[in-house]
Amino acid sequence: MLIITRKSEESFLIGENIEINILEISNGKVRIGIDAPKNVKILRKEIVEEIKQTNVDAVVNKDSIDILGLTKKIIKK
Amino acid sequence: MEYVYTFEEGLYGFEDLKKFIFTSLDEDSENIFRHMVSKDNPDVGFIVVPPHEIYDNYDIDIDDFELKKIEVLKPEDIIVLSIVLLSKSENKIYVNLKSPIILSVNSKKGKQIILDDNRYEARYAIDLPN
Repeated sequence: MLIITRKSEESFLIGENIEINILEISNGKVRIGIDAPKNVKILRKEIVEEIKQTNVDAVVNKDSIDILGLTKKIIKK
Repeated sequence: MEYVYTFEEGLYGFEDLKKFIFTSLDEDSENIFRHMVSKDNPDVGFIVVPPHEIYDNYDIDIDDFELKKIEVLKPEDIIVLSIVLLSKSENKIYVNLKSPIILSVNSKKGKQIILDDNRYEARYAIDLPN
């Protein structure tokens, strides 16, 4: 992992076409501007972790058959 | 008829599961829920539902590059499904509106996307009738 120290209004470049700008630092928060092509996904890490955990919690296997009865309680609109 | 869909990026938390089949849960054709099972690991399955069947006004904006990745050619190619979590003890279901599954009927490819939309939660709770 590369560790960089920057002050506000400084930037760095990642790869050919990603630029990270440190816009403002105050109150323990840093405001970051990210310039990247549309096909590069930028997501807060905790959101991704939440989605991973939600998927893991949602797994059913043949032993969970008893819950399938719950699905019949919702009638098609 | 069951089709195998290819998820080149797998699912979040299950990046190595690349092939899924979608089947009915039972013979009840009125059941809006379907079973999404991994061909790579049959112990991993999910209950999925078309979100518009249980949530009004599920308006979402899917980025074009996501649609390109699964080779969607026209809007009719797209199927949107939400993974649900069933809780028997609470008599509730939790619908993942934040991170739907998108499928392309044209290419039989799919992926899970994360929406950049504050309105939608990963665990939207719906009480079930008794």
